[in-house]
Amino acid sequence: MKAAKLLAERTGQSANWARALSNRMGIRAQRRIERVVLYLVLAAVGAIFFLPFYWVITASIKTSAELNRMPPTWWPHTLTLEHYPQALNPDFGRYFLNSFIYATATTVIVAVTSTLLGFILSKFSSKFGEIFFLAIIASMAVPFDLYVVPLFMLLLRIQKATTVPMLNTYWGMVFPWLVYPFGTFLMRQAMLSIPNELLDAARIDGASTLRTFWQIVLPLVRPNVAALCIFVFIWRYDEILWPLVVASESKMYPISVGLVEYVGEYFVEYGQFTAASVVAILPIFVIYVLLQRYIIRGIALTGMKG
Amino acid sequence: MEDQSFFPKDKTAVIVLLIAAAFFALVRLYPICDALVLSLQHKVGAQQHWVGLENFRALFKDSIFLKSVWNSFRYTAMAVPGVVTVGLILAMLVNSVKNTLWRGAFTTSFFLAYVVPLVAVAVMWRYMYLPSRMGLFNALLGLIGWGPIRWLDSPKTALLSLAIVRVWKYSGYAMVLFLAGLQAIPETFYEAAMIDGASRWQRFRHITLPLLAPTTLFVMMVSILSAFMMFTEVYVMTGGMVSGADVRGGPQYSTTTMVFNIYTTAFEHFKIGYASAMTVILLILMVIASVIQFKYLRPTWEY
Repeated sequence: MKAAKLLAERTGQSANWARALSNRMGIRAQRRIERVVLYLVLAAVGAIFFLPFYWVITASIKTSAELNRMPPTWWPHTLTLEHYPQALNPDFGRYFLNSFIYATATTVIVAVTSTLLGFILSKFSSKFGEIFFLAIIASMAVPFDLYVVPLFMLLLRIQKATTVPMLNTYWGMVFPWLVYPFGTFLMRQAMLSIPNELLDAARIDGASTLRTFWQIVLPLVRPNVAALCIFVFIWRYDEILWPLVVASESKMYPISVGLVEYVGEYFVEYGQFTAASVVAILPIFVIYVLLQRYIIRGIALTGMKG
Repeated sequence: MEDQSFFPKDKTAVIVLLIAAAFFALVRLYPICDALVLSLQHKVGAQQHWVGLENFRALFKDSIFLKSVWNSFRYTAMAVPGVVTVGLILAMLVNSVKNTLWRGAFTTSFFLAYVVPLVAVAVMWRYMYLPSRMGLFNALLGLIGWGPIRWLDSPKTALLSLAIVRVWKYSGYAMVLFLAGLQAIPETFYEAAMIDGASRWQRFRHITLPLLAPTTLFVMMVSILSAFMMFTEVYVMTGGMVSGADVRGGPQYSTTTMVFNIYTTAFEHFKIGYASAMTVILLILMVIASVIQFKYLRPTWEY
């Protein structure tokens, strides 16, 4: 109120005008304080969320002597990259290669079968298709980890019956993803909204079913396919249980299994295994930075979760 | 369509459907049926014969199996409320940021933990949970004169330690879903409430929470199912500790979850029949969960 009086005196305006103005400025000041508090809280929460990353990344560039100090140092006193060459031994290169082969092959197969099957299920009505779709939805209720024991037995049986090796092969790892119920479901839902007239027009122009699919349907659902591919890749890169079961030879380990074996071996060498985990995170981090918009939108729209 | 035929008229469509159905039967239907069959057999290595329900009878007397069921429930009960609450708080905070640039930056940062590979996350946390003062958490507790807590090394705190990792990793995922839910609430609802003089808490309690109910249910359901199937954290973070030569799933089976128990039974003890019986029980639990979700947890109203 003192401020309002002063304001009225100085400007020569009415007392009411001054009071209203100073009230408004009060609200504005309050809003500003609220905003500052909000940002401070967010920054604090963000710091807590980043702490694990900070801790592991700094640990990977501390010297071994510093890592064994107790209590630990909060920031590295001497920087060193000595742990990285040790963590990036040839074995690790092989693990990376295996992970990329497994994740990429699965992504390609899932993309092809999910889009094609989604197209047929959404645009060609039949009783068989309806029953099939119901079965697909029902199977989505069963988490993949539950299939591990019987799928392992299936691989064994195929191997015995056909003498084609299945265990310790990429093919054996990719095998369960030949048909991916969740991907099929997503693609079918995305394609439902494509107008039938568009497909009829293509057919009248003499385009075959596959050509219609390739040239008309696929371009229309490209963002959905992209989101599906990103997630399948990220999830399969991260997978551990199934590769653990299929790959018993270390030359077939993906990075997830390799990292655990590595940590088990060198657990006391903190520098080496923190460096190894930083390296394992890096590819996914790059993908995330480049494609974060698709990833976050994809989650928000579909609630995807591996 | 009334006169719907059994197969589509298009030849290509029929071929695609038949091939896909064959694959589907092979990789999804057959394994489930096989699990049911195997659960009725004694199968260890090359030995194999029918035993009827013997596996199931043995399971209900198997103290480790019962403990694994209890652990899965306990872990879910510890982790899910954390994921949902922290996710909602993060979403409310981020949603009050009006500057799009900052808002995007915060969303991206909180979501990062969800994208990072779980195996690497588990390795990171194992390092932070070191039982001595060398571990980050014990060093922090040391600053205020507490601890050290033996985190993963003590049967009392091991499962809780794993649940904390989940809250950190998955609350960003919950946040993104909650953000989408919050943005769907019309701004006019809040304006009307403000004119009526509703306080901030009242607005949250009577507008945000009820209108967010469908999202909350969805987030809860997804989190429950995924927490109940927890495996990776146990496999990576327990066992082979520096201090005690404890096995994975320990100490004293305190972190042995159902999926982890299935894994060790099948692939370390090679008891395929017994592991299949466990798989069947877990399958039944999952089916019950989805029936509940389908029947009761669907929003019955919209705004």
